[in-house]
Amino acid sequence: MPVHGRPTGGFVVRMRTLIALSVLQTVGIAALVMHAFGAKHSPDPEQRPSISSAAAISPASSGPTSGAAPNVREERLRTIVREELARLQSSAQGNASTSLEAQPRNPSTDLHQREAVAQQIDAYRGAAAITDAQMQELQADIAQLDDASRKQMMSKLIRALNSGEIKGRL
Amino acid sequence: MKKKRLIAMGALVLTSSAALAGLVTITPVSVTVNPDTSGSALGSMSAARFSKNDVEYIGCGVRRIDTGAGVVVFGFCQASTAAGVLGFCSSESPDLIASIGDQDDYSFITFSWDSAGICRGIGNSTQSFYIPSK
Repeated sequence: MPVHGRPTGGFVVRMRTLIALSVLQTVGIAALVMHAFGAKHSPDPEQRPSISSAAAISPASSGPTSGAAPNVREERLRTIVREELARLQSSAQGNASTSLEAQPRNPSTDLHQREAVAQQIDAYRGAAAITDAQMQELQADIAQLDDASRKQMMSKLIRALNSGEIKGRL
Repeated sequence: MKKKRLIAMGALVLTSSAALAGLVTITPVSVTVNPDTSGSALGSMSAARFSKNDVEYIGCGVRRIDTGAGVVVFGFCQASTAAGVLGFCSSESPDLIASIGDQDDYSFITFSWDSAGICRGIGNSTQSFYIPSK
């Protein structure tokens, strides 16, 4: 696929996630094949942990194993899976702390919040005044809104102040 | 005769002190609101603060609010003339917010806004002549 211009941060993050998931999928398939192979040749399959379970990638289950080659490979695969998971988690946390837009938003919740803020502004218009403390609270509520709603409600508030419908200060 | 000389000397001293104070410009707050509700405001903070009324003001500020998902930053400016004509605007533009940080105690401030109340320009000038005389 031809790429025109510089890829965006979101595109890069999505591609990284897809690549990481592909690696995980490949590793998982390989682990399953190895597990099946190992189970077929193991004298006591009941004592082997399942690679597909959550315990298979937990640190508690990663203790030293015997010197058998399949076990060494399995341990290596577990290490890779753990590293990939850790990388994915840290990547997700980094994105959450740097971008508001990275947070998935619920449209119905956004709409509900915007309506609540609009009602507050209307109530202050009805009262024709807002105290400094009320203004602080209102601005904090406006800040919680999605980008478009935030700008819309801030504009509504500013216009009410400019027209004198609400007496107060920002 | 001696008394007259003393008075003359005193007047001279006082006049000299005034002459050494430098230029002082008092710029009261002025707000212009257009029919489409856009507008502009200007004035020096010192003139507003030391005006003879209790309604005049002008200034800008910045709010940073941590929403839990990130920090929302917006700047705002507001002014009121002695007659109570008001002007407000807000902005999330990083450049305009940065210009608010350039303002000082004795700044002469100007700002303008569109019909949505969004700041379209924020300016300041910090000059010695905006510092009130003693």
